[in-house]
Amino acid sequence: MKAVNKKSFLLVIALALVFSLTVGLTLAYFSDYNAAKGESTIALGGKTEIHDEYTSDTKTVVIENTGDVPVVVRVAVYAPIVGDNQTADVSGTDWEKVGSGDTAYWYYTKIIEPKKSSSTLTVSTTYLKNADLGDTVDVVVTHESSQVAYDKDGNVIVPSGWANKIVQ
Amino acid sequence: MKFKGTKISKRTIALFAAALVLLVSGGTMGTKAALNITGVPYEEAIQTDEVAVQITENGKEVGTKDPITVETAPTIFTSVPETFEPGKTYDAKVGVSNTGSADAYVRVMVHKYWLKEGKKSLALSPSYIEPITTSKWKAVKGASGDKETETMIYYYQSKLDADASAQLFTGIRINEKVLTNGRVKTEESTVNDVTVINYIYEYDGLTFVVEAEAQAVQTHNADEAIKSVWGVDSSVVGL
Repeated sequence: MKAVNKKSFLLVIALALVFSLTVGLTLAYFSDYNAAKGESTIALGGKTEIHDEYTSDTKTVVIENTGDVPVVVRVAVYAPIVGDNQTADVSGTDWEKVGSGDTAYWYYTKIIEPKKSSSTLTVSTTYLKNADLGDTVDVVVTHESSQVAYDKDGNVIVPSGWANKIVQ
Repeated sequence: MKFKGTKISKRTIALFAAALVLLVSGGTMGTKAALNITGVPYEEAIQTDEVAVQITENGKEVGTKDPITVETAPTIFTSVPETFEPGKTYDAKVGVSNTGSADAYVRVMVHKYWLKEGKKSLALSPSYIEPITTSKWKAVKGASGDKETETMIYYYQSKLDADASAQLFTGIRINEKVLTNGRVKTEESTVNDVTVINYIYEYDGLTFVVEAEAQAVQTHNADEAIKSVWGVDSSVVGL
């Protein structure tokens, strides 16, 4: 019985020594840490307003970015030629036409930053020689805008269904 | 002489008395000797190499040893705008600096998540948060503490010398899919006889968070040190 107790005692001592040795080694390694945090908020959406004026057979169109993010815009101009006696010319600096007829769009080739506006797109109507008194022209302008998104290489991602006319 | 029935010899008494005298006189002399020290004390400091690391941005130390929480004020990405454009990469020169006196192996644990109204949110995948890293780091997906957080561990692929620095991020971007794949609803209104259709993005105004925790370990006995402190094989740092 005494022999067993002695063995148990020695075993406990040995285990304690081994355990304390392990703990000692773990604590012996030098290490350090340091941390920091960064954050920001994403803005999605974008808002624009169209400003148009009609004077003396000419309609001028300007698109204003009223939102908080840059946008790209395109404009469709419908100038139905009532009685086929009028024509409409659409032009403007930094505006580029893609398509023809009712499917034509004028793309603004620059990104419009928040609180900025596009250059003026001018729609000039002309009555043809055979115009009758009382003929009218009805110019309808619609616009679409899309928030600017970029790919990994920094190129502007063209909105789905749009022509790529953005000049970066 | 008898002491409560025990007989003590004269010899024993003599030896005891002698021992007592020697003990007392020795203590006195020792005390005197201690009091007589008048020389300049000799001191020698034992200095060990220190392992220390700091998070930096644009070379400035910006880290802390305090736990990072949702409320912790941001100290990196300080030069990015308040609002992010999807897909656009913004400069963010974030790295680590070995501020200790010893070379060290370094890794950075990066935790990414979204905040909605101040709370962690799963509205958008944390994988859309894309720090741009340099090529000197090996990226390993780590285990995150909660389901809203994605953790990546970046191991520097060589030892970082004392007083040396290593850049981890060159920039930060949010994947453009937050815009193209985001949930949208339309809102129609009429202003001055003009019909306006606005697209409302559900994730507008969400805040992304990137936490970076740099960890350094000694280079001496590196295999065991890395295994013990980080729990990984040392091959992960290129050894």
